[in-house]
Amino acid sequence: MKAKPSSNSFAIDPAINAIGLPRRHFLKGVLAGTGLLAGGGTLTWADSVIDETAKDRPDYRGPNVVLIRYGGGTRRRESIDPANTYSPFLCRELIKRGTLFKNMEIAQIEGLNTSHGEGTLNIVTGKYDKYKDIEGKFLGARFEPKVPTVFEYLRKSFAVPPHQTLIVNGEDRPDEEFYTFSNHFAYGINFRSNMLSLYRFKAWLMRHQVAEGKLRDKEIEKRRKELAKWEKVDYRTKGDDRQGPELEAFWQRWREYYGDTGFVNPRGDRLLTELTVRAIKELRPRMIMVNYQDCDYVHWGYMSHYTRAVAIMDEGIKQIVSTVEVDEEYRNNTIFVVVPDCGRDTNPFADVPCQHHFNSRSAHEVFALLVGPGVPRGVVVDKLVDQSQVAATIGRLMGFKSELAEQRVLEEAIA
Amino acid sequence: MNPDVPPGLSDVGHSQPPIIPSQPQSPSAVASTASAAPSRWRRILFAPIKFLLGMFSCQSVLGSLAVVGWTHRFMQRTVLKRWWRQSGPAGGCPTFSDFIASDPRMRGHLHWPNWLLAQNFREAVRRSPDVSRVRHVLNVLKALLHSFWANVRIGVQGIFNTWVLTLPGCILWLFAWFAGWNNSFNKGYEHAWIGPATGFVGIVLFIAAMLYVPLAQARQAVTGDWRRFYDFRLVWTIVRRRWPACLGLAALYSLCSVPIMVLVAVVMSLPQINPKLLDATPEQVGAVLSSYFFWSAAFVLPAFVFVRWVAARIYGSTLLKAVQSGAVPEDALAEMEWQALHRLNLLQVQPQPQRHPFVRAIAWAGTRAGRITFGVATALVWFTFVAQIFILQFFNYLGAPGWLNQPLVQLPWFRHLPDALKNPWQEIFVAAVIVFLAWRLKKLGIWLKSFRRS
Repeated sequence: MKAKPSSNSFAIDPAINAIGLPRRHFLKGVLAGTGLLAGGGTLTWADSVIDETAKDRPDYRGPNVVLIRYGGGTRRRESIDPANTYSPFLCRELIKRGTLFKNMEIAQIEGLNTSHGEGTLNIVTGKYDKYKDIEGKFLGARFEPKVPTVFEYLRKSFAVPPHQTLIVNGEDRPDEEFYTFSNHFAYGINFRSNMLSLYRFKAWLMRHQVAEGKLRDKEIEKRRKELAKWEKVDYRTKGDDRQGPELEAFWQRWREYYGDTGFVNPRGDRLLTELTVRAIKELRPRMIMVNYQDCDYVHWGYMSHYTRAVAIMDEGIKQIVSTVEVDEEYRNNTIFVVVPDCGRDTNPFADVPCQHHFNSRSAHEVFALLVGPGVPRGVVVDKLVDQSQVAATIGRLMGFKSELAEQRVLEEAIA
Repeated sequence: MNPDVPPGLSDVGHSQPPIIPSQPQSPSAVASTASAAPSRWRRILFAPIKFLLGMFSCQSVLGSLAVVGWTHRFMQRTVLKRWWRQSGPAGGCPTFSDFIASDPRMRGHLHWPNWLLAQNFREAVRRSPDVSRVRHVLNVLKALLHSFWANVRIGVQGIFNTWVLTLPGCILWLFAWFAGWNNSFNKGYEHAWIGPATGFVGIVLFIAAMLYVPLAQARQAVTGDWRRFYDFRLVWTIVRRRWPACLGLAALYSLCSVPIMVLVAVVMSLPQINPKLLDATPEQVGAVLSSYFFWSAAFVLPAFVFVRWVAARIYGSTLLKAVQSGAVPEDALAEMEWQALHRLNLLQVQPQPQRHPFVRAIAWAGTRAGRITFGVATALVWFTFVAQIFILQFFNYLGAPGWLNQPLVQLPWFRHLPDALKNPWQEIFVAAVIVFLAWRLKKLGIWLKSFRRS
């Protein structure tokens, strides 16, 4: 494995001193992180550290958060503009129930890309960074944030188990499978979120199929090879990223319902909706992020791919909101945050103006919608705000401090 | 047997008696009547104007049809000139003008083809004493657009044949791209193979066509007969005899295609290059793009002509050698070719000279192994041409016209305005209607003439 953690992964940021971490936590974090990243330890060992530290943390009693990445890459025009929207539920119903920041931007910083991985990490870390693929792959998006994600803040502040902090990911972006934790020494793998994706299901399925011994020798060998390849990918967990009994059971139920073939379960972003709905019912997440992505297929030049995907995403949001509304525990205790990872070009010279997102002004233009308890209803905020403010706002609403994120919050979203 | 009539045409009992328009005159007899070739100064003066007209023609469907026709005429002249050069003193024509003047059908090749005016315009508009004033005015009007109509007519024949062989592959790409990227929604399951398989078949069909099309275009241009495009046996014989040259030609196409790809892709970056353009009105966008594509034609037009000029030279030299070596019989030649070669005394089977070892090594390319090697290499080079089409569509999706029309192979129509500004199909439809109406009007004119005579 060529990949190596970034050189400053363990550098003590002066900002960390300011937050005053307890020395015991600090040392445990260093031990756990060092042990894993240097290749000497395993996740199981790291888990034991978490379990121990978890005892010191209070239970979480705040609102749940459903964070919807309205991606990959959507313009305001087809989403929140009533005259041109392909997202009627979001535009005509959901906006009325919460606070819309219609003038949110990704900051114009030199070297900062307006793409999906970067946008996702801007949202969950609350900090802009010039990310580079850790293996230097062309168009690769295997990034490792240097500062913690909102999932890590939540789990470090409260006793929330990993299966209740979830990211739901699509099949086409395996690089984003690894955004579950940062390289920050005081957070990182011990406070990671869990990933729900077909990628994980297939890995789980392969292990089970091999163990069940129902396959022919040739197939077993093929599965083993595939599995080994997949497990090798995440050097930070040494291929030992088992998802825990709750998720194992989740995948077992998924398998019983949809089978092994992959022909029965929904595809694309509909799959993400299905995973989210099931997760809410079965895993009871405190924070779940849905990484919608299909509208990015407009890169291949068909506008219908884009508009169809926006509509599918809208149906997905509607379905998730309905699931929450019929659930007694979630109904009045869930905040929805809808925010695109990035915008798209509005290129007047192209046949398909939004085919790409080449760092143009329009690619920096996004929006954010917050809906739920503690968020004013029917408010539309016109002032310029930053995508990096989302993380701190979630922190304020959930009651944790996101020390290393942009500290400005979206005040208008907090009643 | 008449020595001045092609063997295939002089046979008694030929199913369709040939019509040889007029007997060519001997070079010495016509030397005095031949128009003088335009002076160097005149050519220097008119060259930029003609070039700008050519660039302008690349901006519309109708104009690009004229470019195809113009290029065919140019290719014919290229081959005739090459044969005249190869004939040397034995050909009996000291200058190319003498050779051209020896046959009224070739008189137009005294200078390069015109875009609009009739060839040898001054001669064409000179009033003869026996022509009435009205008739003379009509003749002048006709001469004003004679070349344009000839270019369009030949261009329609040219593009029709090119489309017959290249469009099937291009159409498959169009569907393959759509079906392939629908996999994004459905993932790699039930129908995942349709897109890639359709694309693969399309690529194979296009490459197979392109092994043949450039030299077939040359044959059509040289013979002036669209049916000759389908002389599969003869064209394929020429391809097989010159695989290395065909490989070079494919490489030339691929290389010339790179700047074209870049020119189209750069359009996407115009707002990055000049951020003020982001707020351009549709009218401003139209104006900027019109200007951009007009000046881009300064490369596209010469590239389009250049690859065909090379193809014509390959065709002309290979055909001559094939005839002289006996590999291609005289009766396989078109009438135009036979007449030209005959008058230049080139229709003689010549003994094969003792070849230098280096030449023999090159001749290895003519062996079966060599042919296969060069054939595969040529196909691979054509693949690099095709790959550029796919890459370009990713950078700047041009829709169906981007798949169905490759400016170097088909129409040199090089003006991509966003659909919102101008629907390309509207222009295609209008051009088709104009061509159809002009064709029917011409037929009507011919019918009226014959009716009056009878």
